[in-house]
Amino acid sequence: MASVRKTRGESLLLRYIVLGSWAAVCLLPILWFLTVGFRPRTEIITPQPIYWPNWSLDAWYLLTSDWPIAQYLRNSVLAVAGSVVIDLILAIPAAYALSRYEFKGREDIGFYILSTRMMAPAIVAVPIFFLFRNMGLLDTVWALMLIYAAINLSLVTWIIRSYMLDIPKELEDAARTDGAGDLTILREIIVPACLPGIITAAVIAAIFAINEFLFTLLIASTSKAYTMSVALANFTGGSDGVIYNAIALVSFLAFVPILILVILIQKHLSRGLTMGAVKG
Amino acid sequence: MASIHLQNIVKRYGAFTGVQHMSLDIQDEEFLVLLGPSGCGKTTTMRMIAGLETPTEGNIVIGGEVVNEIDARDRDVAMVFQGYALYPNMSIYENIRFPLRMRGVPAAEHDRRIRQAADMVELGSFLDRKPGALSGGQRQRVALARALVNEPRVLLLDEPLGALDLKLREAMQDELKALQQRLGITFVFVTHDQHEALSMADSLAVFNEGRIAQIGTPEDIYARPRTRFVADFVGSSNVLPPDVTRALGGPAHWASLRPESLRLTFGGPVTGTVTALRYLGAGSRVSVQIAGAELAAFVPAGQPLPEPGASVGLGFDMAALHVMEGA
Amino acid sequence: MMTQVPASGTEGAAYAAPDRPSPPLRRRSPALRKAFPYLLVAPALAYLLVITLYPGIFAIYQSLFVVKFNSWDWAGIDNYTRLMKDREFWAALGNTAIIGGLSLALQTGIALAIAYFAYRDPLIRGWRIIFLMPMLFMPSAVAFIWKLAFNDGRVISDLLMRVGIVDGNVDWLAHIWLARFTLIVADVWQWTPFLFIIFVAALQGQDQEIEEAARLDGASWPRIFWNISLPMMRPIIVVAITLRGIDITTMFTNVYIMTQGSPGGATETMSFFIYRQGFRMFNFGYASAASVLMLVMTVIIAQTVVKRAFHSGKK
Repeated sequence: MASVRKTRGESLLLRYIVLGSWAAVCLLPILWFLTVGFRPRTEIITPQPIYWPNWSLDAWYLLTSDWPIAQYLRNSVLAVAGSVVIDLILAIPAAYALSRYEFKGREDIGFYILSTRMMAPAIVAVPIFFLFRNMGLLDTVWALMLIYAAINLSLVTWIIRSYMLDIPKELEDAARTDGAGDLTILREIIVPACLPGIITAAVIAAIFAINEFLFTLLIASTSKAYTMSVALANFTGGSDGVIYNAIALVSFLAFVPILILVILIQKHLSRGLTMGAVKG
Repeated sequence: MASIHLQNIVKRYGAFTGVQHMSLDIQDEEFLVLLGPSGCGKTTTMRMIAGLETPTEGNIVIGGEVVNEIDARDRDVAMVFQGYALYPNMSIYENIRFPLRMRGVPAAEHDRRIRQAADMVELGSFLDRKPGALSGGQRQRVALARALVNEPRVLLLDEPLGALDLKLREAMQDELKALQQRLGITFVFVTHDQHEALSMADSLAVFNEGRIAQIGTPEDIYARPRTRFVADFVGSSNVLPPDVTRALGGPAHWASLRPESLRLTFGGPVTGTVTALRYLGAGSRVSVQIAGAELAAFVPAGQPLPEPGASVGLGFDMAALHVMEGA
Repeated sequence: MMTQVPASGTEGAAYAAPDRPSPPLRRRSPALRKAFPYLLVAPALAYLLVITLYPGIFAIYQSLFVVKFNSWDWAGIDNYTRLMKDREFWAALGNTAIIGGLSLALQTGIALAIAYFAYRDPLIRGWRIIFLMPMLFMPSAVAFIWKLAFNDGRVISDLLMRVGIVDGNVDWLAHIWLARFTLIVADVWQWTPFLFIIFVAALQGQDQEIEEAARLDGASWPRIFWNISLPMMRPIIVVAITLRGIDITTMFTNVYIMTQGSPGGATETMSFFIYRQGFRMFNFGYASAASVLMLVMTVIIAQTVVKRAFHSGKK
């Protein structure tokens, strides 16, 4: 009995050492970066790092006076929200077909949709750049919206498909004998029943869209279309070098809403991230 | 008007044949029970009547019209499902209202008809709740109300009582039977429970391996099973091979002899050895080794029981020995 | 068989269903029914085809030209033969494999270890949120965090000096492996949570009875984890690593912000190579040729590894 208790105690100590140190690895850079956001520029790049700065709101004043931060935010929100809406409009019917109908080529179509997720953005970067240039869409929020939607469509389709597969067939049969048509069943039965999946898909798609960097870098060239993610890369402008305190502040502005969204869908996160392959 | 005729129906799934050349006539206002083991084709048959499956061959005629090509939504046939299939996101009220909305019943009539259907199944005070907040029996009633609210010509019930405990199930059997008689709707009821089938059916179709093994009144099927399968599946029976039948004084043919038709006697023309006793509550089942076969006799409670190994005689009425036409 | 039961009572009368005329039955087009699922997937499919097939064909076409601004000169397969001889191209391929492989191995190991310790912990909900945080920062922000910590702010050097590992400021961009190391740290820090979340879900989702049975048989937790949990969650691990592996091979943001490929191209990944050829040097035909080769590799990987991973994931 004594030996059992001893091994228990040891493994608990080890457990908290491991978990505690990883928590420190996760949190310390974030906390330190938070202090960067609230220090004057003179205390960032120094021969000796300063761990406890003289607090200042320099970055905030810089952001609000010199940079159209509201414009960036508006662009981000517009492009991201628009892309999620496009995704849902396209993905919900597709997922419905893939999950609840038997038809020739279903597996191949499903896999093709999945496989577009595997494509490196760099592969299509050059052609997409030319495509949008020819369409006159360069440096517009619309182009970003379209490209974000394309990046996330496979993910959104597969997540929703996975949740739709879980809905009992009987529910659909019942609606059918009650007199409902296919689209009515989708709208009134299937969509409400897999709402958690739809929300999960939307949140994950939104996060990936907010984070998107390469395409945004290529498409957006002025503050007309700059988003938060690429605007960061812009605080490296010219003779000033990298304006880290502004960068830190902006990244926390984006971080907080994402954190809240993720906490809300926490239960579904693992399933969403694996496109439905893992049922949390 | 709402009689149903299945004409030479075949249903194949790839290489597997679920229903083989089945014909079945269901009269208007009849309570028909489809009985059989799982995988015998009874549920498939019902789903074809509902329009949820399409027959590979043959015709389905409802109310004088061939409905093969008609979608389930247009057939005016209602169905109660095994798992009730209540829409989880809608309140009970909205659940019952759904068929009315789908079939374009004027909105002004909805409330009256929903309440009427709810009263009919004694659902009173749950209308605002969600299905998740209800017990199994209550959900069952909601499913019924939803199926009946549109006054269908035919109601299909797919093992609707399977998920209920025994007491509730028996109460619901009585209620369903009474409801059907009061409404005069054609009921088609699928079950694998022979007691349920015998007690509810006007007409009983016993399914086996995609075919109807026998169809008739419950009394007829119990007393005169046509095949070994029916004898064995409906009630318990001693199925006698030809030589045993002859040893018991019948013709050299397969026969069925119900345990309750057998009496234990002392001596007599047929004697055997008791091999096992099983207590059943209302009586006991005594297994007797006789003429190379093992027969079961039912001894009501209160009568003397032999010891295992004892030698006993078996008496029965020759009329109870039912010689089967089929093998 | 008919049972003659007179309809009695008001309810029965109200439900005299058989007396009402049956409406004419509506027939729907069987062709439409057959086409219906295709109509449902068509918009999504069309959208994806435009965004993948069109660029694919465009890239193949463009890769056959030398493109300078608006003039396209036919080059045949010159771009490809040049690529085959281009040391930078092969280096980019190698760097992607080295940085991606090391990073993925580290992430998997760390994620498994912390998942093993965390999943039975009563505070798991708290751990999960803390461990998740790095993933929720914009990748560009993460790149800046580590750029500042390693290079511009000298924080890492300072910390290492304080514990006595190094005795001077380290120039992380001066050495091939140090520069790669900074990229790996940034990637591991940000993306270990991805694997952790999935592994914890898998561990929590496994059959408790099997664990309990093993406990009763006297197995220790490490043994249970190694001999029972790990083999059972293998399909999930495969899916998670596949997804992460794909994302790692597309690594761009960190390179762009932290190293720009230096020193001497030692941290240039495939994505950055294509970007640099296309949008820095304006060799669009050449960049397209590299894209086509990368696309071919992607298709091969998708058809083999990914297809299998997702099939085993579905069980």
